[in-house]
Amino acid sequence: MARPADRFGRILRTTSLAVVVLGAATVVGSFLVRDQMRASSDRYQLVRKTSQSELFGDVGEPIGSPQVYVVTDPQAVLPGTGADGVKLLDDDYLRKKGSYPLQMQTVDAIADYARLGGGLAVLAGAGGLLLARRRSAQRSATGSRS
Amino acid sequence: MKLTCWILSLALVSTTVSAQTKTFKVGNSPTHQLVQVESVTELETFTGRTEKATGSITFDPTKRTGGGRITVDLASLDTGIPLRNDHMRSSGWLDTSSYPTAIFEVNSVQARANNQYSVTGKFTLRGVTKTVTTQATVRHMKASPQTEKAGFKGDVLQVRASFPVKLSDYGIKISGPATGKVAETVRVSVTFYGQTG
Repeated sequence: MARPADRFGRILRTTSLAVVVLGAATVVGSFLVRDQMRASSDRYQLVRKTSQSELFGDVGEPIGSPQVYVVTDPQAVLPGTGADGVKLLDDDYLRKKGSYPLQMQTVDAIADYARLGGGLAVLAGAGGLLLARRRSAQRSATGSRS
Repeated sequence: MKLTCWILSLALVSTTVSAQTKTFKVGNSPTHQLVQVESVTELETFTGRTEKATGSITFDPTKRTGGGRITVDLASLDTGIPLRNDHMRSSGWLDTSSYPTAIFEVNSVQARANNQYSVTGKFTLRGVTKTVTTQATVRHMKASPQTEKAGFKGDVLQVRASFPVKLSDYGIKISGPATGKVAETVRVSVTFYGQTG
């Protein structure tokens, strides 16, 4: 039957290793997900097309200012461009689909938080592993002296 | 005789010029107006919008002057996320139960080049009124089969303007979880299509 110190050491070691792995996976995953989303993103002006705006020769009613959106549905992109060459995103289509366009700045911010959290987890896990190793070494030294 | 003719001519010209001032009604149809509030932060840029705005705008296409008053239903502002809409209406933010509307009142218009105007007026939000000066684009179109096809009655006036609003000026303090998610200064943009019919 293992003594209590052994059990604690094993739990500490296992938990710390898991935290390191999860933390590292989070850091790597944040890069991968962000890069994947960036590949699908571009600068768009969200536009609501109306007969009123077309009467005055406008492409539509701009909704907010141009943003970098992650767009995976090509049907959401309108033909043509805005005044400064920005691509146009169909606001009516997105609202009918219940889609709230994801902004790249939000993805970047969340990725930053994930990397920070993942990095802290790796550090905490590494600390736990070091502590477990020291305890094991101390046990071995105590055991060899007795 | 000469004096009489001169006075009559002056009266005729005055009447003709005054008759150029037209009143354009806003709010007849959901797609004839759009009020937006845009908040830009590091985390997210979001826009709240509503089509519930009513009022009237006067405009003289000859003199290129005018004015107007528009009332906006703040409870109808939609940011795309229902929970955020609820927070926005609450007492710590727009407090729409106490202050259900925002009011734009324009009392000075100065024509610039092309369709550009310098506009000065009063903006009232949450019971606080501030003077605002901004640039506006105003385009006038006489009644025609094209305007009728677009859903208008009579002459049409398109007005576009935007101006910054510092929330703390109107008693709105950003604190707690909203810090960094809502800008201290938001951008209000308006598009109105008024019609004389």
